Amino acid sequence: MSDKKSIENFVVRYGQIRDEIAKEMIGQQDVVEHLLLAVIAGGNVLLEGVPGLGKTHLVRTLSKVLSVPFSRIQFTPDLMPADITGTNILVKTEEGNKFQFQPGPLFSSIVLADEINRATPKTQSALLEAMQEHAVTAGGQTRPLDEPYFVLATQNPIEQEGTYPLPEAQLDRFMFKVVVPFPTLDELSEIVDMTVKSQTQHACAVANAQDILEMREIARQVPIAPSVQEYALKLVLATHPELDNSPEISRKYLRFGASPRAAQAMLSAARVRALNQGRYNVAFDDVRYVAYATLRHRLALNFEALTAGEKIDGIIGSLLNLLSPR
Amino acid sequence: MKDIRKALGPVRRKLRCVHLWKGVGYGVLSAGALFLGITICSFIIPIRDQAGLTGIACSSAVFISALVSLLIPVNDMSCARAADVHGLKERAQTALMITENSPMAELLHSDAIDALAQFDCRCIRFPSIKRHCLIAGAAIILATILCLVPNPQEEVLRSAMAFEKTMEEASTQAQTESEKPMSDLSEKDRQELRKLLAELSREISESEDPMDAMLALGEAEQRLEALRERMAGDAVNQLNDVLNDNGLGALAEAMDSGEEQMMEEALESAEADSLYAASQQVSGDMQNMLGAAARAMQSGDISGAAGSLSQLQSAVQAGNFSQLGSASRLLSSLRSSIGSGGQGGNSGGNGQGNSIGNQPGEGVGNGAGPGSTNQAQEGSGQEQAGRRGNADPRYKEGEYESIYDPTRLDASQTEISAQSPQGEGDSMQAQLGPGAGQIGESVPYNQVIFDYADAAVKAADNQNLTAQERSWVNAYFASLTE
Repeated sequence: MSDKKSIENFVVRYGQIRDEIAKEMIGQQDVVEHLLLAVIAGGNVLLEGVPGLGKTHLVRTLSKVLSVPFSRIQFTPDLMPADITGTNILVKTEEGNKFQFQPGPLFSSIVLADEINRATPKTQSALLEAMQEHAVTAGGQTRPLDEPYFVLATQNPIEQEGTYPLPEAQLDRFMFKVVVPFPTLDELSEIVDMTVKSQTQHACAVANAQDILEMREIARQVPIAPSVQEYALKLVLATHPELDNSPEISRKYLRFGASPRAAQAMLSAARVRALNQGRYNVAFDDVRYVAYATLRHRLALNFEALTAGEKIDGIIGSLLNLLSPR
Repeated sequence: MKDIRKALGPVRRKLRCVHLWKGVGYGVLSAGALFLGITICSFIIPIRDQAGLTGIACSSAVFISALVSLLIPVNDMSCARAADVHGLKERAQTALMITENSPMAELLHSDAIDALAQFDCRCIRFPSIKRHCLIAGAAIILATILCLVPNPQEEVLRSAMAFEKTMEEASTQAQTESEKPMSDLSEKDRQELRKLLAELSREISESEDPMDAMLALGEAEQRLEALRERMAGDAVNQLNDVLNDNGLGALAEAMDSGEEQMMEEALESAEADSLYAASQQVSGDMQNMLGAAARAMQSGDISGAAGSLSQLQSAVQAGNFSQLGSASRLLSSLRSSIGSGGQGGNSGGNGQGNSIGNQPGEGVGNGAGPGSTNQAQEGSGQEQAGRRGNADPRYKEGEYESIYDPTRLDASQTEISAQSPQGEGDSMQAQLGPGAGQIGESVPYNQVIFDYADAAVKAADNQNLTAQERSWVNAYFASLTE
């Protein structure tokens, strides 16, 4: 159990990490915020955004600030599972030739799966075990991955040709789906300026793997009032169109709803956010804040919603307005 | 935990005020609804002192609603939620829920107490009761408009109040009569008569409708008649005993025979002093009459003395005692006034007459009867009875049947006269005309049966019937009017 000082230091350390990342990331505070929430809560993040928004740079900066091993996998259609999990190779030793496991890029603390939807489902599914159980099975042997373990996948929403949409089972493994917005005019201007000027500020490591694990443990202790927990659960249930008491908007526009894992992810992330806000309890606002990122990749629009031009964030917003916390 | 509860104190007080305010709002709403409801009900059932009742009901509604709201318990969780809603971000309710001793819980409690200490209870606003007030105002305006509409129940109320007033006056008269000296009666008779009149007063005051009062009157009349008969027997015996004791046995026998010739013969052989002595041994009317006979004898007027004694004998045999006569007249007067009060709500028309046989030569007149004006003269009664319409609260409109009622045929007044059975100047004139309740030749049965019953009872009183016969008449009409 963490002592008071560690708990009180949580906000300080969190702020330090955020400030260091901000040195190299222009804007995108909301993306950074969600990324940090997921890292501390122990979840994976799916980043969706057009190329050139700094997704890879963000992850690289994060690994630098957290001073944990980082690996990047560029997903392509010909990428094989063994390419990412690792494989047994024949090596010559003094004792003779023998097979030795050569770890793949999954054996790292922060894994960037770039354009994950370009790989075949076979390769995509190779990530499942690593993402959920933080272990890799290859050659009949299961090997645990070092903690903290964090997969950050990106996908391009524009180029859909020759891509393989992620199956629902794999999407559900991501705690958040964060949409990376295009920078504002000021942010864009600052980014452009940065390319012609010599960068004066560089992010440096302010935390380590142990700190992340400790912060994760602290976050787990944050209490949640029954009414707040009930609100999160009702929100998840409200996304299920097949339930009798589900809202009209869910029945009308949703094909299926969020899984129980969504509720777990929502409350875990809300705990971290509460501490981040200097509170020692989860508030309704915390749940509402993380609801979009938690639910948007777990809900599927039906044909009627697609023809009506409905967006998943709009439906989540409607559900949040519909379910008044008080 | 105790610290959290203590920190929630101001919130709890504020919530109590909010509850009180809400209660006032609901009370105002209830008051408006009650005002409207009572006003509507007043058109269906007669409501006495409607303004007072409405005032009490409305103020009670507001008070009770406010009191109940104030007494609604405000628990810690309600206070915590109220504070959380206004910016504490679920700190209070989470702190209230966490009971474990962990660093996180301690920090949470400390954080929540700090937040509550800085919490400004003014941000918990009083709910608006504007809508309640508007609805109540609309109800009050509607009720006020209804109050301006003529209410048929007001006439019923007026009739009921007039009936009560009549009963009260009748009760007072009976009570006053019972408190008179009654010096000419023996102690036993006096007590019995007082008891009779006191009970009559009580029963009349407790009667709920004219029939109850009439029944009480009938019973009182029966008891009075029984008293009269017993007193007459006692008086005859007493007179005989006194005359015999004074050596006037022959006179006593002559008086028993009732023939004046025999009395004159007996008086010729009697002495005036003996007769005077006999008069001193009796009291009241008997003493006066014997004394008058003795004085006539002393002056040599034997026939006058015989006349006095004859009148005495007949009065004694008939039980004509002045006090009983007074009581009897009172009962008759009450019957008339109650009968008229029950129909028209007008208790006017108390009769005036002389006591039966109180003084020689005075006639008997009974001027009692229903009517708004009543003129009575000595020895005769003349009354003009303007019949009023249906005002008895028991009457119900719609219960009509064709019944012939000559008093309601047309607007012309019909003058009838009736001969009084005894005395001089005993004619009774009544001018009967159509009243407000005239509705042509068809009148409700209920309206006329009381007139018939009243007339029959009066006729029975005037016809020198025995008590049993009068009782029979009373019972018959009582059964008809039940």
